[in-house]
Amino acid sequence: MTSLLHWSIIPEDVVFQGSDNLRRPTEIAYRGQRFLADALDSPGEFRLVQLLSTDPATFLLPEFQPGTVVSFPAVPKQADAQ
Amino acid sequence: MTYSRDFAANEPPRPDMPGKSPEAPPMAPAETPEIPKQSSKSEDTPIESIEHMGQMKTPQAESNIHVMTIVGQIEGHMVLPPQNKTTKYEHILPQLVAIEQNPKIEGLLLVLNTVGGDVEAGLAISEMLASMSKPTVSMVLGGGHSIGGPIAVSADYSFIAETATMTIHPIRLTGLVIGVPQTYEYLDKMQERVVRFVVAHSRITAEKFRELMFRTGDLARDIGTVLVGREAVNVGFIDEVGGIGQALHKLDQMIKERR
Repeated sequence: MTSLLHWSIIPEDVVFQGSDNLRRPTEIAYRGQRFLADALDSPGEFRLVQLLSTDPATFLLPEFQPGTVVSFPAVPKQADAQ
Repeated sequence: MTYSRDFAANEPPRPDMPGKSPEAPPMAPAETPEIPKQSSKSEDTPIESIEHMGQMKTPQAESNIHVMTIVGQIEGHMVLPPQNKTTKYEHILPQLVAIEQNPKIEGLLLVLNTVGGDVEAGLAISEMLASMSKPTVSMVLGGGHSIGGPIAVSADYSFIAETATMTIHPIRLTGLVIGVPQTYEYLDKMQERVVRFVVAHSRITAEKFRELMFRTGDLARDIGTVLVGREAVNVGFIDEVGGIGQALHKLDQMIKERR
């Protein structure tokens, strides 16, 4: 898949190699914000792709930068709780 | 391939936020964003609560400028596969809004080492930068190729490192359906947008820029020109040769003039 709008010194076939099997990000909630994130192999871990917010200040927070890996602790089932 | 789709449909179970109420992190638009503890797993510690409540200032080196790095490919309408290092414009744009709006930030240093990328995303970043009221200084470090050129000149003042290179070449004719005359026209229009932007924001003339863009014999595999350090200054593309010291000094000077 190529794009006519792409303007780079890197050859297009190199740039777009493998773009057919990209995973679609899922939407998650994290620290009061919504994100598009890629689910990683270990359960509960996500890599942030895009912050969905209308507050510009949140985009400056280092913990919300795209590429940040976040993990959610496993939620214990009701039966396990002591 | 885009991100846009309806997630409401077959969405996997959403993980809940780890033990935090939805109002965290608290954010007043006119404040420097406070930086919550860099930990995704921990519960709130007392220190963290203090930070959230804003009752105690944790020691923190505060700078009156922000640095933005534009690296790798400028990612635009299409998601690029993971072998690319990318700069995501949908994240950069709101950051620029926050920088423009935050009274504690007085200037922006833009550090470029990019191989080009999406023309529209690059132009969007460029237009945003050019229309900022706060002083902006750009610095081309390793390379500012293709769409990196307009981004570099969009700052109020631009620097290039002695060894850094900038490639000026036509917008690619690879890809689909080149036989169609409309495609040529379309590419030509896109190219004109770039030329006009560069001419409006640097000292180079349209004639000179086009001449560099279509020069033959300079690049092995393409038409166009590679400008190294001082050459970019000599043709009027970039303002000055220099490194971080000069760039910061210039930015500081501009901030003082603005006060």
